[in-house]
Amino acid sequence: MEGLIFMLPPFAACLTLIGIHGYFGIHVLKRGIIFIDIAMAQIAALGVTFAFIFKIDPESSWTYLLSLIFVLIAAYIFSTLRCKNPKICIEAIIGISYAVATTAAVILIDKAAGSDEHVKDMIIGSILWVKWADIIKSFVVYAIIGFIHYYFRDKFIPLSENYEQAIQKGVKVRLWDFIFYLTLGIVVMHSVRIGGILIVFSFLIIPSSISALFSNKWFPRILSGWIIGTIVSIIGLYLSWKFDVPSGPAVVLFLGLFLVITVIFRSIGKTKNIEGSVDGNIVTES
Amino acid sequence: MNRILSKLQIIFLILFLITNAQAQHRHRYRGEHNWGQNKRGLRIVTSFSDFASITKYIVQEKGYVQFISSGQGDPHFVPPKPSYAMMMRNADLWITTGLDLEVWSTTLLDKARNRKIMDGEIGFVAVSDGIALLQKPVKADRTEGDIHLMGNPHIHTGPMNWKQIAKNITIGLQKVDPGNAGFYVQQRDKFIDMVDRAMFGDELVNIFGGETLENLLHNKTLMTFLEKEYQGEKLVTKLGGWMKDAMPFRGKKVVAYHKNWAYFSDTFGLEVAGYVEPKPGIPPSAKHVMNTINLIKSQNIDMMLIASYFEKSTPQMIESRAGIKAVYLPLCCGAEKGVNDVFDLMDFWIKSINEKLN
Amino acid sequence: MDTILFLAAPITACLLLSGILGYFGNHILSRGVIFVDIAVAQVAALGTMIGILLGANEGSLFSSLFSLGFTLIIVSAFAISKFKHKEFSQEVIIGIIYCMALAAAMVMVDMVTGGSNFIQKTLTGAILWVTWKDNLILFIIFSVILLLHMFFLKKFIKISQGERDSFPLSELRLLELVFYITFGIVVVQSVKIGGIFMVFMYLIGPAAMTHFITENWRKRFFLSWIFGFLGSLIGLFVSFKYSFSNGPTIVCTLGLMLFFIALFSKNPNKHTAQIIE
Repeated sequence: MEGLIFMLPPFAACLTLIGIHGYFGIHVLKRGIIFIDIAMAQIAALGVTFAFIFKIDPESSWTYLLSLIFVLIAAYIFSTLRCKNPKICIEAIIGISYAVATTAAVILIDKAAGSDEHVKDMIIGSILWVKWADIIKSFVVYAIIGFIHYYFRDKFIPLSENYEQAIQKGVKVRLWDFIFYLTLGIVVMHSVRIGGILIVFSFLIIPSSISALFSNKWFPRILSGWIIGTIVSIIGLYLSWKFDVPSGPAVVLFLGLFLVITVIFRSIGKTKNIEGSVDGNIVTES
Repeated sequence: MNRILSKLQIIFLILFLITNAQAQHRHRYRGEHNWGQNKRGLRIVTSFSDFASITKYIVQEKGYVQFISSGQGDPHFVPPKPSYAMMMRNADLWITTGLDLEVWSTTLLDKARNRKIMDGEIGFVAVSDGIALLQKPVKADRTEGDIHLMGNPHIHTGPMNWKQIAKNITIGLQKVDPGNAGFYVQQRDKFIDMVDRAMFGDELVNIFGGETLENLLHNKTLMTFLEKEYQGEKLVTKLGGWMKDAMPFRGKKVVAYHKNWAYFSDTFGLEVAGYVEPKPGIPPSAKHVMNTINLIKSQNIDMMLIASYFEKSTPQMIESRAGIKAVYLPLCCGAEKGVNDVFDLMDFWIKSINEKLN
Repeated sequence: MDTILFLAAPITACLLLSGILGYFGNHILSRGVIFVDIAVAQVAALGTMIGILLGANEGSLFSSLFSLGFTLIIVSAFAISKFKHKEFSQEVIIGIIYCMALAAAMVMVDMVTGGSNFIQKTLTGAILWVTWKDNLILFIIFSVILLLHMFFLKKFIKISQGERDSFPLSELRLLELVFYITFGIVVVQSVKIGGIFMVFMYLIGPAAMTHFITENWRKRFFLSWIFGFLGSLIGLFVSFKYSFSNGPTIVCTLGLMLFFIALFSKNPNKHTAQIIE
């Protein structure tokens, strides 16, 4: 009984995270910006570092605002520099922003403040220690962002599916790209706080990878991402309790296991299927 | 969709109910974090294994002492394991440094939701109360690059501090378990005596008493004092314990990786001439590295103290570049084989340093 | 004078690292597997942890070899896998490998002394402490690998440009194996000396810079080397003169260089994007 009460907040946090990350993960996969969340988390952290130097309490709204400003700047850069051919993929820009953000934070801390530890602790959470207040705050933010993305889905989805087509259709690509990165950045800011970067990263790419194997339509993929995420969270948290291992990593490992099992079953299924598509490509359904 | 979810919820519940008892059973008998003490006794959790070791001497069979961080890991980092929060949840007493070292403890305390052990309650013990802290920053901001604003928090590295730590722990014990107060005080005094004897040797303690010797040491007049004669011999010949064992490196200059060793070096007269990486996590500048290498060469320093939880590859490079030998010391007890309590720890440190000297 | 003597070894290390990583970086950039080095570094860290659990002493030769072996096995598996699905690109596989390795390391963190060191400690890097012996070993390893690559260069460039299908599967797999195994070795050696971020930046930064300047691969390799080395020199100088933390300064210098080049270059992509909008 005690264990259940104990694991309830982490479980709720997992569900909350799965909700929004199951959706954004599909975007991330389609755009090929796999490591965006790590970069965004670090950029937000740079904001926290800035606040820290000016002696602002890491928990305060000013810090949140500063992180938000940094995320805004990053979103602007990413949306402006997004290229149409993979000469310098956007992932490279993301990677470089990540490296610069991290090292700039270190230099700032070195020159203007004390050590790194406290700052890092303030923004990287673990799913096990999560507080209800943070879960609820994040849930509200995710719901709002989710609604925005649903309402404007005819802008966001084409942008990730096919950039050129979107331009031809007359979508204001830079604006919507900017909003995309901004909303993603805000989501990452909250997610990293309640779950830590590992869970955020995994929830972003693994459920959508699994669902990519089965469908190309958005709604089924989001749904299956949610179901997979829920099942895996239950089992992962349970295992972490039983074997007394860190909770976040346990969930992630199990998620990976799930992926591997899915891939294996699918290739067994494929070899059994003599007719029909032998290679893995799913025909695009409208 | 909802049906699936609720079915899953039910399965989740059932699984937990079934295995909960099993899990509890497991935690009780987990070998790593206790020394086979009385599971029915007072439940005490400490942040570091050293504090647990000291507490064990005081509570003996009346308590069940567990700790969170041993010398094996970085003291600033605690993996999010369910058992930690459960330990805290059920604890009667929480023992921590009380400075800004255990930043992770607030999160753990929050999760544990144990009113008794929150800061300010009787179940909360800050062992640093009353200890004279070293390396207090002159300016009350971070521009001097000091990580810890209140002073160096690694107080357990100085054996004389153990006495005050023991006193603070006993106060806490007396508050949560007044019935055994007398017992705790008795054990505390025994422990303090043990520390004195381990420190100075039986002979000097018998003549002067531990407190006097400690005061002399604190005022830095002990060595001069020992030059005096007593019954025909210089007192220094009667010196025993760690002070004697540490004589070979008294006054020796070393370099340290981080500022972990302040109290140890202060007590035993080791001079830390410089730090390789003064700010943990922040690689030193080129100028600092050059200065460090020059320092090592010009002062003929041949030893570098490193806590054993640091990664080894960078220190190895430093060894070959600067021509210096690295001494890896576990920061707390319970990590290395044979280093089970604080006395073992001090033995190990002094022995390791002496070994590297030769 | 003393300063120059002191900095000579680190500068040489920078020269070696910027050279080999600048070469690999162009391939990596074109293939779009930007974060592969971070994944490799994490896998290597996990390998070291497992080695220690199995009884090796951290820092011993056995431990390094075990870690390298472990890394290369995983790298090989990655190299020979097929990537037919549009969304299941190589970068996704890398991402999955990375988070699995990180998760595994986190689960085992208190089974090993200093476990937290293996969880993507971002800034370890001891380039300032490098000795001439280290430099020599690096030089030998990198030269051998570079020579090997010269042998396959045309084919590697083809693969990097995306023309994977022009090769029969078995040949493709062999080439990928050679490429990624040599890459893995380079990354593991470089991270020991420079730390994860410096390696990352050396790979991506100069290569990205040269992408704004020329299409010619050979020119790119050469220019990447020059830019990388130049950035390192400036970074070292600044770190020395103004007492900035060394690794981060080099990384930021390279980042700034890229920023300026991107800003002032005649980037056809940028123009096209602006015209359409």
